[in-house]
Amino acid sequence: MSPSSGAPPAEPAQSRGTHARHRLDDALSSPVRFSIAAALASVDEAEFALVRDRVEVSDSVLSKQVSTLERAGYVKVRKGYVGKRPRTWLSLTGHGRVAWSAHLDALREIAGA
Amino acid sequence: MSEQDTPTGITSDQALERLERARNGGVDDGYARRVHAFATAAFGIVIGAFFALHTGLDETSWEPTIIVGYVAILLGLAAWQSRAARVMPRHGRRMSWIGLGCTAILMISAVLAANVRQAGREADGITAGEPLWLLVVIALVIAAPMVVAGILIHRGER
Repeated sequence: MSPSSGAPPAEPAQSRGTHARHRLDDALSSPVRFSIAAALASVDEAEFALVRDRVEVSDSVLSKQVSTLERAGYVKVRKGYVGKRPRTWLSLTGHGRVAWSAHLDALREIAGA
Repeated sequence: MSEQDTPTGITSDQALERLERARNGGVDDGYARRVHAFATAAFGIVIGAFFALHTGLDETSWEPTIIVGYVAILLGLAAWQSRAARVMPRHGRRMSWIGLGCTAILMISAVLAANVRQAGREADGITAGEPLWLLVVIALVIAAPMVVAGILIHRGER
Protein backbone atom coordinates (compact mmCIF):
# COMPACT_ATOMS: atom_id res chain seq x y z
CA MET A 1 0.00 0.00 0.00
CA SER A 2 1.36 3.35 -0.95
CA PRO A 3 1.53 6.12 1.66
CA SER A 4 -1.00 8.19 -0.27
CA SER A 5 -3.75 5.55 -0.49
CA GLY A 6 -6.05 6.75 2.27
CA ALA A 7 -3.46 6.82 5.05
CA PRO A 8 -3.07 10.07 7.01
CA PRO A 9 -0.18 12.20 5.88
CA ALA A 10 3.08 11.51 7.62
CA GLU A 11 3.65 13.65 10.71
CA PRO A 12 6.44 16.17 10.59
CA ALA A 13 9.65 14.76 11.99
CA GLN A 14 9.51 17.17 14.94
CA SER A 15 6.26 15.76 16.32
CA ARG A 16 7.57 12.18 16.09
CA GLY A 17 10.06 12.77 18.88
CA THR A 18 12.91 14.90 17.65
CA HIS A 19 11.72 18.08 19.37
CA ALA A 20 13.88 19.23 22.25
CA ARG A 21 11.09 18.58 24.76
CA HIS A 22 11.47 14.84 24.18
CA ARG A 23 15.05 15.07 25.34
CA LEU A 24 14.15 16.62 28.70
CA ASP A 25 14.89 13.93 31.26
CA ASP A 26 12.01 13.20 33.64
CA ALA A 27 14.41 12.21 36.41
CA LEU A 28 16.08 15.64 36.18
CA SER A 29 12.96 17.75 35.66
CA SER A 30 11.98 17.93 39.34
CA PRO A 31 13.40 21.17 40.79
CA VAL A 32 15.16 19.43 43.68
CA ARG A 33 16.70 16.69 41.52
CA PHE A 34 17.72 19.34 38.99
CA SER A 35 19.49 21.26 41.77
CA ILE A 36 21.19 18.11 43.07
CA ALA A 37 22.52 17.30 39.61
CA ALA A 38 23.62 20.93 39.14
CA ALA A 39 25.46 20.79 42.48
CA LEU A 40 27.25 17.56 41.63
CA ALA A 41 28.04 18.33 37.99
CA SER A 42 30.88 20.70 38.89
CA VAL A 43 32.70 18.26 41.20
CA ASP A 44 33.88 14.66 41.34
CA GLU A 45 32.25 14.12 44.71
CA ALA A 46 30.59 16.18 47.46
CA GLU A 47 29.51 15.55 51.03
CA PHE A 48 25.82 14.88 51.57
CA ALA A 49 25.54 17.74 54.09
CA LEU A 50 27.10 20.24 51.71
CA VAL A 51 24.66 19.31 48.93
CA ARG A 52 21.78 19.50 51.42
CA ASP A 53 22.80 23.03 52.43
CA ARG A 54 23.33 24.09 48.84
CA VAL A 55 19.99 22.74 47.62
CA GLU A 56 18.29 24.01 50.80
CA VAL A 57 16.28 20.91 51.65
CA SER A 58 16.03 18.64 54.67
CA ASP A 59 18.03 15.44 55.08
CA SER A 60 14.96 13.31 54.37
CA VAL A 61 14.00 15.19 51.21
CA LEU A 62 17.55 14.98 49.89
CA SER A 63 17.72 11.28 50.76
CA LYS A 64 14.51 10.55 48.90
CA GLN A 65 15.49 12.49 45.80
CA VAL A 66 18.99 11.01 45.79
CA SER A 67 17.44 7.53 45.96
CA THR A 68 15.39 8.35 42.87
CA LEU A 69 18.51 9.51 41.04
CA GLU A 70 20.41 6.47 42.28
CA ARG A 71 17.70 4.14 40.93
CA ALA A 72 17.97 5.92 37.57
CA GLY A 73 21.72 5.23 37.67
CA TYR A 74 22.57 8.93 37.73
CA VAL A 75 24.02 9.29 41.23
CA LYS A 76 26.41 7.14 43.23
CA VAL A 77 26.31 7.16 47.02
CA ARG A 78 29.45 6.33 48.98
CA LYS A 79 29.51 5.91 52.73
CA GLY A 80 32.61 6.13 54.85
CA TYR A 81 34.22 7.75 57.84
CA VAL A 82 36.24 10.89 58.48
CA GLY A 83 37.97 10.02 61.72
CA LYS A 84 35.22 8.37 63.74
CA ARG A 85 32.38 10.31 62.16
CA PRO A 86 30.27 8.69 59.44
CA ARG A 87 30.08 10.61 56.20
CA THR A 88 28.14 10.17 52.98
CA TRP A 89 29.47 11.37 49.65
CA LEU A 90 27.46 11.87 46.49
CA SER A 91 28.69 11.88 42.93
CA LEU A 92 27.23 11.86 39.43
CA THR A 93 27.90 8.65 37.52
CA GLY A 94 29.15 8.71 33.93
CA HIS A 95 25.61 7.87 32.83
CA GLY A 96 24.31 10.71 34.99
CA ARG A 97 26.74 13.20 33.44
CA VAL A 98 25.64 12.20 29.93
CA ALA A 99 21.97 12.57 30.92
CA TRP A 100 22.66 15.94 32.59
CA SER A 101 24.50 17.20 29.54
CA ALA A 102 21.67 16.07 27.23
CA HIS A 103 19.11 17.69 29.53
CA LEU A 104 20.99 21.00 29.44
CA ASP A 105 21.31 20.78 25.64
CA ALA A 106 17.55 20.31 25.36
CA LEU A 107 16.97 23.32 27.65
CA ARG A 108 19.34 25.42 25.55
CA GLU A 109 17.44 24.44 22.43
CA ILE A 110 14.12 25.34 24.01
CA ALA A 111 15.56 28.62 25.26
CA GLY A 112 16.96 29.32 21.84
CA ALA A 113 20.30 30.02 23.47
CA MET B 1 5.18 33.44 25.86
CA SER B 2 2.82 31.41 28.05
CA GLU B 3 3.27 27.72 28.69
CA GLN B 4 0.23 26.99 26.50
CA ASP B 5 1.87 28.78 23.58
CA THR B 6 4.77 26.40 23.47
CA PRO B 7 4.77 22.70 22.61
CA THR B 8 7.71 22.10 24.94
CA GLY B 9 5.85 22.12 28.26
CA ILE B 10 8.13 24.87 29.49
CA THR B 11 8.63 28.34 28.11
CA SER B 12 11.91 29.63 26.79
CA ASP B 13 12.11 31.93 29.82
CA GLN B 14 11.74 28.96 32.15
CA ALA B 15 14.39 27.09 30.21
CA LEU B 16 16.72 30.08 30.54
CA GLU B 17 16.02 30.30 34.27
CA ARG B 18 16.89 26.60 34.69
CA LEU B 19 20.08 27.03 32.70
CA GLU B 20 21.02 29.94 34.94
CA ARG B 21 20.31 27.78 37.99
CA ALA B 22 22.48 25.01 36.55
CA ARG B 23 25.33 27.49 35.97
CA ASN B 24 25.23 28.82 39.52
CA GLY B 25 24.26 25.67 41.38
CA GLY B 26 27.66 23.97 41.67
CA VAL B 27 29.25 23.17 45.03
CA ASP B 28 32.81 23.57 43.77
CA ASP B 29 34.68 26.10 45.89
CA GLY B 30 38.10 27.65 45.93
CA TYR B 31 38.90 26.42 49.43
CA ALA B 32 38.43 22.72 48.59
CA ARG B 33 40.42 23.22 45.42
CA ARG B 34 43.28 24.80 47.41
CA VAL B 35 43.21 22.01 50.02
CA HIS B 36 43.47 19.24 47.42
CA ALA B 37 46.04 21.16 45.38
CA PHE B 38 48.23 21.80 48.43
CA ALA B 39 47.89 18.22 49.71
CA THR B 40 48.75 16.71 46.31
CA ALA B 41 51.82 18.92 45.88
CA ALA B 42 52.87 18.32 49.49
CA PHE B 43 52.66 14.52 49.04
CA GLY B 44 55.05 14.80 46.10
CA ILE B 45 57.49 17.03 47.99
CA VAL B 46 57.44 14.73 51.04
CA ILE B 47 58.07 11.65 48.87
CA GLY B 48 60.93 13.42 47.06
CA ALA B 49 62.43 14.67 50.33
CA PHE B 50 62.18 11.17 51.80
CA PHE B 51 64.19 9.76 48.91
CA ALA B 52 66.91 12.40 49.31
CA LEU B 53 67.14 12.07 53.10
CA HIS B 54 66.93 8.30 53.13
CA THR B 55 69.57 7.91 50.43
CA GLY B 56 71.84 10.59 51.90
CA LEU B 57 71.58 9.26 55.45
CA ASP B 58 71.42 5.55 54.61
CA GLU B 59 72.72 3.22 57.34
CA THR B 60 73.05 6.05 59.88
CA SER B 61 71.26 6.47 63.20
CA TRP B 62 68.87 8.89 61.46
CA GLU B 63 67.33 6.21 59.27
CA PRO B 64 64.55 5.05 61.68
CA THR B 65 63.67 8.65 62.50
CA ILE B 66 63.37 9.50 58.80
CA ILE B 67 61.13 6.51 58.12
CA VAL B 68 58.85 7.18 61.11
CA GLY B 69 58.68 10.89 60.27
CA TYR B 70 57.90 10.12 56.64
CA VAL B 71 55.00 7.80 57.50
CA ALA B 72 53.67 10.21 60.16
CA ILE B 73 53.72 13.19 57.77
CA LEU B 74 51.98 11.22 55.00
CA LEU B 75 49.27 9.97 57.38
CA GLY B 76 48.82 13.43 58.89
CA LEU B 77 48.55 15.02 55.47
CA ALA B 78 45.97 12.44 54.33
CA ALA B 79 43.93 12.94 57.50
CA TRP B 80 44.00 16.74 57.15
CA GLN B 81 43.02 16.54 53.48
CA SER B 82 40.00 14.32 54.16
CA ARG B 83 38.82 16.52 57.06
CA ALA B 84 39.44 19.93 55.52
CA ALA B 85 37.65 19.55 52.20
CA ARG B 86 34.02 18.51 51.76
CA VAL B 87 34.28 18.42 47.99
CA MET B 88 36.57 16.69 45.52
CA PRO B 89 37.02 19.12 42.60
CA ARG B 90 36.16 17.92 39.10
CA HIS B 91 38.95 15.63 37.78
CA GLY B 92 40.84 16.22 41.05
CA ARG B 93 41.01 12.55 42.00
CA ARG B 94 42.18 11.48 38.55
CA MET B 95 44.90 14.14 38.47
CA SER B 96 46.07 13.17 41.97
CA TRP B 97 46.31 9.50 41.04
CA ILE B 98 48.13 10.22 37.78
CA GLY B 99 50.58 12.46 39.66
CA LEU B 100 51.07 9.84 42.36
CA GLY B 101 51.59 7.09 39.77
CA CYS B 102 54.26 9.09 37.94
CA THR B 103 55.95 10.07 41.20
CA ALA B 104 55.94 6.41 42.33
CA ILE B 105 57.50 5.27 39.05
CA LEU B 106 60.21 7.95 39.33
CA MET B 107 60.81 7.04 42.99
CA ILE B 108 61.23 3.32 42.20
CA SER B 109 63.51 4.14 39.26
CA ALA B 110 65.60 6.46 41.45
CA VAL B 111 65.93 3.84 44.21
CA LEU B 112 67.00 1.19 41.69
CA ALA B 113 69.51 3.57 40.08
CA ALA B 114 70.88 4.61 43.48
CA ASN B 115 71.34 0.96 44.49
CA VAL B 116 73.14 0.13 41.24
CA ARG B 117 75.44 3.17 41.65
CA GLN B 118 76.12 2.29 45.28
CA ALA B 119 77.05 -1.29 44.32
CA GLY B 120 79.39 0.12 41.68
CA ARG B 121 81.04 2.46 44.19
CA GLU B 122 81.46 -0.35 46.72
CA ALA B 123 83.05 -2.55 44.05
CA ASP B 124 85.47 0.30 43.32
CA GLY B 125 86.17 0.76 47.04
CA ILE B 126 84.67 4.25 47.13
CA THR B 127 83.01 5.04 50.46
CA ALA B 128 81.51 8.45 49.65
CA GLY B 129 77.77 8.61 48.99
CA GLU B 130 75.86 10.52 46.31
CA PRO B 131 76.59 14.26 46.14
CA LEU B 132 73.97 16.44 47.86
CA TRP B 133 73.17 18.42 44.71
CA LEU B 134 72.31 15.22 42.85
CA LEU B 135 69.99 14.05 45.64
CA VAL B 136 68.23 17.43 45.62
CA VAL B 137 67.78 17.33 41.83
CA ILE B 138 66.40 13.77 41.97
CA ALA B 139 64.06 14.75 44.83
CA LEU B 140 62.71 17.64 42.74
CA VAL B 141 62.21 15.35 39.74
CA ILE B 142 60.35 12.82 41.92
CA ALA B 143 58.14 15.55 43.37
CA ALA B 144 57.46 17.24 40.02
CA PRO B 145 54.48 15.14 38.80
CA MET B 146 52.54 15.67 42.02
CA VAL B 147 53.42 19.36 42.14
CA VAL B 148 52.18 19.71 38.56
CA ALA B 149 49.03 17.75 39.47
CA GLY B 150 48.50 20.11 42.41
CA ILE B 151 48.84 23.13 40.13
CA LEU B 152 46.35 21.64 37.66
CA ILE B 153 43.87 20.90 40.46
CA HIS B 154 44.23 24.48 41.70
CA ARG B 155 43.67 25.90 38.24
CA GLY B 156 40.71 23.58 37.68
CA GLU B 157 38.27 24.39 34.89
CA ARG B 158 38.43 28.14 35.27
